[in-house]
Amino acid sequence: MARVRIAIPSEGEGGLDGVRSGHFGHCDVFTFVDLEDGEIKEVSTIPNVEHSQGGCMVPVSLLAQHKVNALVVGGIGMRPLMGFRQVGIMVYHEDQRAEIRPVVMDLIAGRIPVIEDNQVCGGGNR
Amino acid sequence: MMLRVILASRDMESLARFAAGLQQDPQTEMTWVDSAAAALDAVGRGNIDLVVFGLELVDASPVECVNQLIRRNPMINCSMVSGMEHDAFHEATEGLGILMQLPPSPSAEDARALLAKIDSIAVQLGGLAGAGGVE
Repeated sequence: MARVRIAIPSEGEGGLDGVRSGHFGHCDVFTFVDLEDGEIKEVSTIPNVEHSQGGCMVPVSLLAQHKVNALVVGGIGMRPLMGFRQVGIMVYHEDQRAEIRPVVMDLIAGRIPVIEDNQVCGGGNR
Repeated sequence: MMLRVILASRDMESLARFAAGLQQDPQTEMTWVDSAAAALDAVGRGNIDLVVFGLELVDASPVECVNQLIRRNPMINCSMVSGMEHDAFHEATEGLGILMQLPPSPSAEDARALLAKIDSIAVQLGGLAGAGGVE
């Protein structure tokens, strides 16, 4: 049985009918969508962790601890992106839609691309 | 736990007071380099916790070096001397995860503040160690 956990940086209380946060590091909560064989089995949320400037590995570690496999972001810096790659979390890029549900459904359908290095925030890539 | 630090700067003298501040902590081990190439080489050999950049390197800008460094090991913390205004510095280094902007000719007090910040992040990361997750 293939089990996958997707994380969506979210505003407010999150959830499948919630709204995405534009930047993963500053979201209120992460919405977790657990899939089994491509079907949604469970949706849950966890609060983001407070972290200071330069502490962008803290949310990377948080998602790794929660065994996330895939993350969909609208924006992310190069350092945390490299961190996610290092811990084996695939990062996908979608910066057009605020709603969580259609983005999750598109990810499941394979219609959300993996983020490219030139799509990160800052570092000359704005 | 030992903190292994690289001080990377064309002008070593400008970091002298800062280095003296670091050395007041017996758990800190320092290595001096003057180039991005040497800094990246040291990082590639492993066990580096922190790289502190002066205003200039002999072969690249500190921002260029950080861009390379985080691709090799994003877990290493970086701090950087810069005379830029805070907002301009943030703009120039956004996404690179720079721990702290240091003033030109940083002091021993700046070193202590940086070490305290590293400790605070270690606490944040350590606090996650018991977090749960699906199996």
